[in-house]
Amino acid sequence: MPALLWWWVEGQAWACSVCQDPDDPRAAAYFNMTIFLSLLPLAAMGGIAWWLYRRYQEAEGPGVARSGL
Amino acid sequence: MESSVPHNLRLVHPPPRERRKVVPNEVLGVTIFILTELMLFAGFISAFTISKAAAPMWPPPGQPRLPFEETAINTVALLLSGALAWWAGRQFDRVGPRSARLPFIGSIALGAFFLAFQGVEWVAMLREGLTLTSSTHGAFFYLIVGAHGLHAVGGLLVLMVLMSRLQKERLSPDEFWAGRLFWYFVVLLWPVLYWQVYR
Repeated sequence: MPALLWWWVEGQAWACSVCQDPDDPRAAAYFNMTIFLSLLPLAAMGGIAWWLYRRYQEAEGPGVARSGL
Repeated sequence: MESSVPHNLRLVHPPPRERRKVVPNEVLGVTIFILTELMLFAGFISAFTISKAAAPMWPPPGQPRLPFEETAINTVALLLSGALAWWAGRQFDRVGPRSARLPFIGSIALGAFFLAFQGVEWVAMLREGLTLTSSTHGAFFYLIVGAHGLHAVGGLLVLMVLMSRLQKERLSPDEFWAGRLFWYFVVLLWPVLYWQVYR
């Protein structure tokens, strides 16, 4: 039964809205931009968290806290 | 005078420790705002990259090429403006508010030059037939560069308000830091947009 379904569904799968022709020049752009838009907020939030942690450590330690920017 | 509390029951509190602010509220607020703006521009860049990849040729036929070389001068001016703002902040923190005035005036002047240059460039592009509705190329150019331009206008207004407060010696280090932080965002975003849109 799974083999039969596979044989039958495989052809239907081409209609999937997120499947693309790998030779389409947009495919690479879609792929790269998906990675870019997925990683950017994580990198930005991670960067801010790391910066806040560094600031916290500086505030706890000796010396005068400065803007640094 | 002897306390009535027996010695072994006396609670000893440590002296209150001085707590320094990790990040001023103004700076944290601007940082969160910048994060949302970053995602807005990331969306623009993403849409532009996919449209550009789908086009058989770029710029589309009949549409002018963007002035890559001339805008490089403007890019340098904006980067210098950011560097001067950073220098003004350093002077403010280490020497005093008065020593921050001159580099800060330079930063505002270069920011104004950037906006004026862009205005001239837009007029030239419109004369060459690149409009918001002439092609996807024009639509993305005015959308992305225009959105950045609006941020630059806002940032410049903030810098001018800070300058006025600096002159009156009523500017706090935290306000100065928060205002400069937004300007750094405007400055550092531009080379990315320039490289993506103009090339």
